[in-house]
Amino acid sequence: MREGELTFTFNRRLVAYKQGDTISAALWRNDIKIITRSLKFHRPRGLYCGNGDCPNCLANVDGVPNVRTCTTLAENGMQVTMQNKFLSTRIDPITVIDHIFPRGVNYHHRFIRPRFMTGVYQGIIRRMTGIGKLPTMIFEAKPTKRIVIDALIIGEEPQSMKIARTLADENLKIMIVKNKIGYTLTHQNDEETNSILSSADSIEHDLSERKNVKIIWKTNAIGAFDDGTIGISSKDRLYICKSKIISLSEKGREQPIRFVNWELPGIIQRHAALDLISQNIRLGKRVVVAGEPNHAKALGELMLSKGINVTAIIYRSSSVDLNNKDKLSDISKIGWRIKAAIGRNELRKIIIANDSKQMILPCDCLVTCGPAAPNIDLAKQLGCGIETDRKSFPIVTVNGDFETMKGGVFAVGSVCGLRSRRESWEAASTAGKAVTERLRRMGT
Amino acid sequence: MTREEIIEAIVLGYRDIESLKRYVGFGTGPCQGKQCIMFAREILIECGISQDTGMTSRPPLIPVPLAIMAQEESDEE
Ligand code: FES
Repeated sequence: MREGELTFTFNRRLVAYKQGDTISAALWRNDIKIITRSLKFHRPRGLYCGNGDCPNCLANVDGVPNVRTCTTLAENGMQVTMQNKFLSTRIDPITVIDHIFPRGVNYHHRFIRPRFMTGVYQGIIRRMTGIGKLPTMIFEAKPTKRIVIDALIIGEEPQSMKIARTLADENLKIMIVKNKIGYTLTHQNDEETNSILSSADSIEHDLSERKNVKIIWKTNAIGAFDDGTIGISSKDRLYICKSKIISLSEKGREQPIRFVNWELPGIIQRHAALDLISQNIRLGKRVVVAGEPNHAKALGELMLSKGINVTAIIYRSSSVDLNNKDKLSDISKIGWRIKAAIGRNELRKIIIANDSKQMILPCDCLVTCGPAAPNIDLAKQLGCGIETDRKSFPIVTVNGDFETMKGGVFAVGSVCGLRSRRESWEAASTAGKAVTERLRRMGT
Repeated sequence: MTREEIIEAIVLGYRDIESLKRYVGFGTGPCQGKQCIMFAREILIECGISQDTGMTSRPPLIPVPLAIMAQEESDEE
C-alpha cells in the first residue's frame, strides 16, 4: 500500500479504494467477488443488484451486521468482515449440505425425529444458517421528527421533480423524500433521456434552495400508518410525516433473470454494472450482457463506448433491430437464452441455448437486464387499488388525473404502469395540476 | 431456498403465494420479497396456478435499526 492511499479492511486484509466507491465496488476493484454466503446452503454470493434490494452483499461493517455493502460508501479505516462463512472464504465445508440434499432441505419434515433431538438439531441449524451476529457497538440514533405538510413527494423517478416544482410554485409546503442526490448515468444514452434527466437535475437544484421545499436526501419511505401518515427513515433518524397529498413515483425494481446458478458471484444486474462503470472499475476481462432487448442493447453500446470488452449480447426475444454496420451485430445473439452459469466460487462460463443448439461462452462477468417490476409496496400499504398490467406485473390503479383509489394519493410513473420516461414526464404536468386543484379544494 | 423446495410445497397443496411463503419461507429474508417473489410467481404461473397481486406489504419496507424507532420526538435538528 502506498502512503496516503485510502484503505479499509476486508476480513483483516487491506483493500485500497477510490473516493466514491461503495464497499462492494471497492472489493470488485480489487478482484474480490465473494462478499458473503447464502443463508441456508452457504453458496458463494457477491455484488448482485447494486440497489439494496437483495441479500447477496450483506457484511458486517464496524460491528454492525447485515450492512448492504453495495449502497454503503467505503470509508478510510473501515473494518468489513464476511458473515455466514465457516472456516475460510473460498472453501466452506457447510456447502456439502448442498450435495447431500440436492433437492433442498425442508425443515418441516427433516431433522424432527427422534422428537427429543429436535432441540439439538435446531441449535445446530441456527448456528449454521441465518444472517450475522448481534451488533457489537452502540447505535447512536437521533430523535424522531414529526412533520406536517401539504404535499409529500416520494420517488426517484425524474417526473417527481416536475410535480414538486408545480406545487412549489404555488407556494405550498412540500417535502421530497429522495435517496440519491441528483440524476446520474443511465445506460440509455439517447437525447430524450438525457434532456429529461438534466431538467430534473436542475429542478432539484433549484428546489433545494426554496424556503417552502424541504428535500431530505438519503432517506426512504419505510411504511404507511393506517391514517395515511408516512414513516421515513434516514441512516439514523425516523421522520413521521402527515401530508394532505402524497405523490408516488418510485423506480421499478429490476427483476432477476432465472437460470441455473443465477446468483453466482460475477453475475450482476444492470444497476450494479452502472455503478462500477461510473467509478471506472473494470467489469471483467470478458463481459456478457443479457436480457430485455432494449436495455441490453443500450447497455452493450454504452459498455463498448467505454472500451469494455463485451464478448456477447444475448437477447431474450427476437424483436431486436440492429443494422448490419452496427458494431453490435457481430456479438449479438438473438433469440438465445442462458441455461446455466458455471464456476465454483466465481463465474467462469455460461451455457446458452436457442431452439436448436447449445453453446458455452467463457466470461467472468455477466450483466443481466431483467424487466423492471413496478414498486408498489408503499401504495399497497396506503390502501390504493391494485391491478395487473400486460406483463402480469401488479400496478396501481389511477384515474385520468393520476389519483389512486385512495383519495389524496397520486401515482405517476412506472408505479401506475407508464412505460417510458417521456410518458411519465408528460404525465407529471397533468398530475401537478390535479394535485394543485385538489389542495385548493381542500382549502389550502 | 431452491426451486425444488417451492415445487415440493406446491405438490403438498400450498397453492397461493401467502401460504407458500409461510411454508417455504421466501419473502422473509433480507430482500423481503423484492427479488425472490417474482421467481415464486413465475413458478406458480408455470404450475398453472393463477396469480394475484403478490404478498401483503408491511412496514418497514427496508430494514431499519430498531434504535431509530425507539427514539423520542423532538423539534431540534
Ligand atoms: S443489496 Fe447489495 S447487491 Fe443487492
